[in-house]
Amino acid sequence: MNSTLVDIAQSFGTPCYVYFMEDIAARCEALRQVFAQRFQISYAVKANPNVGLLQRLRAHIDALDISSAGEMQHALRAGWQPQCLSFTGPGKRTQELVAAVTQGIGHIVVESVPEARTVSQIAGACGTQQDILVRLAPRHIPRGFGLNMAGKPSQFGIDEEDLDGAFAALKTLPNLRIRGYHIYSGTQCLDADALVEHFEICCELFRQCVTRHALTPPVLVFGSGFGIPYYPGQEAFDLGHLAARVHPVLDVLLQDDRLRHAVCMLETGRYLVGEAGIFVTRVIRIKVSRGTRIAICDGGMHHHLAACGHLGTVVHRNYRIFKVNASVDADDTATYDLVGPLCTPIDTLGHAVELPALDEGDLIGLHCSGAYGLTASPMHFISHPPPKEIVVESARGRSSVEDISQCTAGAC
Amino acid sequence: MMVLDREKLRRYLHEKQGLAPEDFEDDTLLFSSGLIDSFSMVDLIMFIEDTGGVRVHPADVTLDNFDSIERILAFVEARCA
Repeated sequence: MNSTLVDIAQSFGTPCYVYFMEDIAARCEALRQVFAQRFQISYAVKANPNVGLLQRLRAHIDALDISSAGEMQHALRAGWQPQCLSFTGPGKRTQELVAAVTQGIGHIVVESVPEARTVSQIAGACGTQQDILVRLAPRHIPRGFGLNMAGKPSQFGIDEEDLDGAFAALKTLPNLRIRGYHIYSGTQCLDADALVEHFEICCELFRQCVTRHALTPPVLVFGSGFGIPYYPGQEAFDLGHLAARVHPVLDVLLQDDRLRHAVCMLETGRYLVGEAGIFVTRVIRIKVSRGTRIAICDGGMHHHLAACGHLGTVVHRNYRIFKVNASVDADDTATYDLVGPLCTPIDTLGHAVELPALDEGDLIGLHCSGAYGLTASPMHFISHPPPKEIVVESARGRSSVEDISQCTAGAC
Repeated sequence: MMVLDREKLRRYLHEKQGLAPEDFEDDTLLFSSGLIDSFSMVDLIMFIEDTGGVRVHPADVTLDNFDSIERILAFVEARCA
């Protein structure tokens, strides 16, 4: 991998994002295998909307979840059929809904009754019936379920406590077909117990909805919440063990006559692509200031906000960071603050990172950069050019590399 | 005078963050172990400010200062000195 990164840095420049398609494909296949095809796989485009990746994902997964008209355009450009898309988001604007309905989007995931009314009107105006999924906001979510979005006041979904009234209203709306339920209430969870408990909660709530509202849904979407080990000291959860515990939960759900033929979908984002991406940056200058070694790099928070600790974290923690092409007997390590080129002290990729001795021109790699990287960063701040995005693939034993950048200095 | 002591902090972590008393010691890493997430951290900082009578600046919010009971108490003590 190191030599691939060096070649890419040489050919395409730095900083850059490098995505290893083989790893993404392997992850998709692992999910399919371990759940014995009982789940269809839907990828949350917001994790990484790169059209080159979306195109390549078509061979490996079943559906995409989009959260804007822009993401829908990416998906269509990548060759996805609109019927394979679901559209979530708490603030879908009328023009986005019109665009989605006229495109023939698969499912609109309604997050409120007023939104459903709007979809109903638009579908009527278009002379069509629109399939919808109802997003449910569970009352209870297991402790440790990552960034916890449930049980609290929320802009997402219809609160479990309000479902009776909501379904009564939804059933009266013309031009809509309620085709299923959708739950997404947590992300970035590494705790297998919490993940299993979440499946159980989803199944119970789905079952209650079927019972109370006499709606036999063809589609049940489970937001997986599967996390990846960003930080040194974190461990990935064991997917095989997790699946072994989830199968009996699914068995119970699907033995209900009304749910026997339900299509279960697993919605996941960073779990598919996060670990397959590396952010590569070059050391421009090394400075020692008041006893601290500072390596100033050509990549920073404008390219990778999450690594700098500003994307939803309160306490900065270093990503897994390495020196590219470090010699094997690198006993000669030192502690560095890794910073970007911006004129702000919050542009810090790493605090007190232990690395082999660095020189100007050395390459640094940050793991777990395949999701919520470039497009989740303030790329226009201070007007530097955006990093390139490069995909590495293997075919017939040979490695190929392609520039799939879609962000230019003007737009993304 | 505001005082943030070990007892108050333990009680807060139990009552407000739902941590079972047997699950954490003074040196248990609260945040980096996943016992407390980002949202909870914000609430914890507010509690420390209100009870300890200290102002927590964004640059202070590091694992060194906040990742365990003993570190929090040391931080507050240094601030009050």
